[in-house]
Amino acid sequence: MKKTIIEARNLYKEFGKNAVVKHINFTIAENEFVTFLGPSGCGKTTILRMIAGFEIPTSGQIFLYDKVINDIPAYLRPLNTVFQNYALFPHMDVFENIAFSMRIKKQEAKAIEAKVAELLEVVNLSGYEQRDIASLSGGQQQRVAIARALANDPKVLLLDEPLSALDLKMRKEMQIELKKIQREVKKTFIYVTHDQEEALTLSDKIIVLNHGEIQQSGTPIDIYNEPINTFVADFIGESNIIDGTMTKDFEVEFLGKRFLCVDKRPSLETDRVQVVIRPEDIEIGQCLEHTINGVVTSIVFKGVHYEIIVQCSESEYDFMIHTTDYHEINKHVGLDFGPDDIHIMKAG
Amino acid sequence: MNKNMRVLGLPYVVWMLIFICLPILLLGVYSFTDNTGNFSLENFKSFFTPIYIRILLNSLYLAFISTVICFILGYPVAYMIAKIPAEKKRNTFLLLFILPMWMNFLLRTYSWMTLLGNNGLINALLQALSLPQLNLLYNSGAVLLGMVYNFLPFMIYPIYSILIKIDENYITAAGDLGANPRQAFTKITFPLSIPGVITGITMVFMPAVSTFVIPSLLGGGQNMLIGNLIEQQLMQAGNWHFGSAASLIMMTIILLAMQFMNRFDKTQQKNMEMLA
Repeated sequence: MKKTIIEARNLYKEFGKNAVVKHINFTIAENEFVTFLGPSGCGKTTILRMIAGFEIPTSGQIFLYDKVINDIPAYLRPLNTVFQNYALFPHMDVFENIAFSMRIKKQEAKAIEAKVAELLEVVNLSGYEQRDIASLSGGQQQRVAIARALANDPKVLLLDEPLSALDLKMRKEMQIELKKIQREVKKTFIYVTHDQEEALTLSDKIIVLNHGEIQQSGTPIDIYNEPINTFVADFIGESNIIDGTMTKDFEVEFLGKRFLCVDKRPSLETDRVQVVIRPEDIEIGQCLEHTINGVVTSIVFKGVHYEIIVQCSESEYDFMIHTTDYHEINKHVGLDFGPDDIHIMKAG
Repeated sequence: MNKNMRVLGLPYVVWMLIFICLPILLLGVYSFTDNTGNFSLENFKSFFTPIYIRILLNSLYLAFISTVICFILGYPVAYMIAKIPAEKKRNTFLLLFILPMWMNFLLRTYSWMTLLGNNGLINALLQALSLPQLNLLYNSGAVLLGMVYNFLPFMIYPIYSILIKIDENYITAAGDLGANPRQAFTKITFPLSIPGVITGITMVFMPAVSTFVIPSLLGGGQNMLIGNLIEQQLMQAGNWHFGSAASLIMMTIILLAMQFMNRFDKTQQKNMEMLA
């Protein structure tokens, strides 16, 4: 079991009368890459700002190891932040930006020089010491911001949607880069994003938020394969969410058909459940007695795969299917999926 | 497009020719000629005599001191106003500092005379308290006070408008990197506000060097400054040639001072671009 570095207990924050973070609890382990994921306004940035010390919790505690840090001002916390807009100091060159925290700590010039050179190597910008901030591209500014935040050897690096200002290609590159940097510097990264794909790619652990409440936390694979409710299922990737009933374990009924599944019946009074089937888990085959049958109503080429919408014959439910095979519009098809492609959630 | 712009610019070119270039040219002509209209350096020669040099140095000295005082008073005010979170409140405070400028300049200066004079409000008050009276008017102090009072808004406004533009994130980032509030100010806020400081200094120093109303009203003519000298030469002595020479010398000094300041500004230019 890894040691816990950051913990929130009953953390609550309101702005005016508006509750933004509602009594949440979480723990973050050392050297973990943890992502707060959620739509805008879900409170994820506020949580990060409270950890950094820019916002004071209305109630509840934030622990760094076993010490409550609520009342410690940001400049005394051994945590550093990479800001969304980078916030690089425009009147300093790359070197001075990275050296800033070390100069504040009055470190020796020799040590500062060595550290800056080392960090520039980590972020792949060796030789950029004397460059003006304004002369750097977005991606380069991003790297300088990361180097600057790492200069003080923070216990935790906080990243507030750091890639959102970059274009898609650059963003993908920086994702890989970030993961590499994290492995290299061996530090805890707390990351905030609304981009589910980014979260899945980068994180060891994802905490999904909505309306200031934690919906689910777990590894990317857990969150993707076992979403706890419709919000998570919908937010993380594309999903087909169908109402169903379940009267016993390992068997579910939806759209008028019975299917075997691998989940037990949720321990609830009602038989109603919701069924999640990922679009890539459905194969298109022939209309059969036991399959859900329908008509192809649209097919869109997405690069790697086709996105096909199949409308069910009886219920008019639209299934989304990702497949590499082409199927003509108006073709009658059957949908094929196995027991382990069916995921059962409590009815929302 | 470019051609159209040139046509549109024409009125301004004419305006500048008539009201800027021509007067300066005339100034040059007057200052380099004598009464008979012949070329002469006599005007400059007579300016560079101890009595006029003293006037010049005194003007520069008072303008410098009042600029420094304006900066010391103005920067904190600009900073505090810029830090007010509510925009409406901010604008109200700013207005309070700008408001006196809506009144006539002479009126404002005259009202200081009634406050500072021997029979003025302050001395009346002292008398009522049976304290000794003070000589408040007609000295360098009164002139300085008049300059600071009149030109302070010119210092506050440019500093304020640059401070308000500084991204709060820079300050947050400095704090995040371990700078306490004082360090964040000296290392981030102040360096980033230097373009505003330079504009403020220029805006205060220039009118302070050339003013003649303030020293003649509050200084009582005992404190002759270069502005008074020029006014006296042109309006009273009728010596346009010497007056022009003095003007030209003053303009040159201001120009040199501005060049000097601009050198600081150059290094800050890119910061301005980032802030904009």
